[in-house]
Amino acid sequence: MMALVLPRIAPQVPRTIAPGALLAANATVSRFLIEAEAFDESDIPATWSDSLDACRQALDGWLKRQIGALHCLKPRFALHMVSSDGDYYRYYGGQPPKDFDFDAMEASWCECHEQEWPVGAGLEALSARVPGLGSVILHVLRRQSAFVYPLFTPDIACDVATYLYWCGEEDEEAALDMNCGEDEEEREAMRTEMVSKATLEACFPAWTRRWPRGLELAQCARFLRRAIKHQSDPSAKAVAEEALALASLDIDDSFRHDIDGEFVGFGAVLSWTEGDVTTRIYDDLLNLAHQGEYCEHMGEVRVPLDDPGAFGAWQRAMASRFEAIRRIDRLIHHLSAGN
Amino acid sequence: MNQAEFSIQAPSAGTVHLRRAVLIYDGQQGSALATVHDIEEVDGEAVIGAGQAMTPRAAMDLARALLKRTAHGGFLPETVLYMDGDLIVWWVPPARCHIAFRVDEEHAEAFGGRERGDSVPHPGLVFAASGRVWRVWAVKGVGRPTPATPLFQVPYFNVDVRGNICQGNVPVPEGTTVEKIAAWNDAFLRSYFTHPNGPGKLVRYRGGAYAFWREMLDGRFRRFPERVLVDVKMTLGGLLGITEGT
Repeated sequence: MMALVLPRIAPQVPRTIAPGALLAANATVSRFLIEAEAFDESDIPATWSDSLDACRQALDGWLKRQIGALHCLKPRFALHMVSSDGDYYRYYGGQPPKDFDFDAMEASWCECHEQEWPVGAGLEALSARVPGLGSVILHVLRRQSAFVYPLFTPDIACDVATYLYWCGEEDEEAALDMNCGEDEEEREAMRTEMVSKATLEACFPAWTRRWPRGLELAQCARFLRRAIKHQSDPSAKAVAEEALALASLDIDDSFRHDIDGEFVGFGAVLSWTEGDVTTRIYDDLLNLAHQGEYCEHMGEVRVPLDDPGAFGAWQRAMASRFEAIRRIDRLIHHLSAGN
Repeated sequence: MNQAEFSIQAPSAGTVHLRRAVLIYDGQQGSALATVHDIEEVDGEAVIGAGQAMTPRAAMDLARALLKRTAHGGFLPETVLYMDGDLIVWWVPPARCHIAFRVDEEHAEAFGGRERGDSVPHPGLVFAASGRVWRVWAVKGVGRPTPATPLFQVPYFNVDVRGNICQGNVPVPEGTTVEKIAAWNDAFLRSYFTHPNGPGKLVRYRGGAYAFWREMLDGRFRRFPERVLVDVKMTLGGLLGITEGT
């Protein structure tokens, strides 16, 4: 009896076909990453048919190992090819560009899916236990997130409101003058509709609305150490320890984005209470930004193709930022009680 | 729990992978059946799995994927006469429009100048374009052509007796979709006509094509004189391999 055998496709038949220009581009990037020693050998998948996808999987594995599982944030890192003219390699299903003069690789990061996290109750509960603890933790969060994973905090919401709604003034009166003149009825109607100074004052406690001038990280760290020492509540202690660890990280602005336009690269919206005016201001900022140039990258680095070692240096320099992302995520999770 | 992710923005969307095999069965009287089989991997080798009959819709989806630049869909203008794969045939009704010539020194005097152009009446035209052909014929009358409509040699330079358009340095549009018809018309009518292509008569006119176009440009005719068109002894249906009524 003849055995049933599925018809085999001859090995001469290619399993994958790719345009030449694309293969060349992929090979360039793969070689760059290998020379940069961007990942361990163990990160490379056991079997693969596309070298670039294998590199992506290896980098993805490396990143996941660096940052670990997160509760609230979902960072997305991306690597772009850049020409000597500063143009990005773009290709959406048509013919890949043939004469793209590769010159550099650019790594950048942003948040995939920013969400609102109400932190008011959590911060107030901490301050009820240790006066000032909520304020210090919020300051550590906004200070240490600024160059690694910026958060849309109440003080930023108040600042944005001044130029979104109030013509850059301290309150809405100039905007009302401009739109309604002396018509009191019209002024009141507009004031009711708009985000007014009273809206912000009702929404956020005074200590959240302004960046506390003069409060340095070293002072915050001293305060947190004292709070940890005298705190018996394990939950409050855990939050203070997390904030202290975050405050102790050395983070500079080395990889700041270099893009003109409105910055909207926030990792999360920290509202005071769920559904308060913070999200409205944030949405209005996004709408305004999307009408012109805007930047949604939190940070970036451009490395020349002939200097793959610089990419490895960037990866090493990101270690403290990865830790910061992890700790920022845990703090938001604690403060919003896992909402 | 969330996880960070890393992507490389060097899209590999142009890469195609072997996923399915299509087996085609031809009948004796033009009938055909196709079956689609998944490609499976067994012991590291690609094998053809069990298949199922390819439905007409699946066949059309596959055709669309294969002919991305010629995909047709949506409403058709009445000037479109025929479509088959990436071939599109359309009609340009008789109209007055600008035409430009740049002839050689030898004919310049008889033509009334080396470079001339003006708005003149044109006959109805039928164009055919695909990835491989770009042809044009003239038709008489103002009615929309049918398979029975006789075709005539176009009276223009740079077109041979079979209707093939000499492309020269003219950039042609990419793709043959309905939206590209105006671009194809422009590519032909807005280029310089330089010389008759090959043997054969372009027009039945005393003095030939140069004399005809000189007098056209001199404004002798208010309407295109259809009597000058040369019959190519073929109908539109005959050209497309179809008979009237089919």
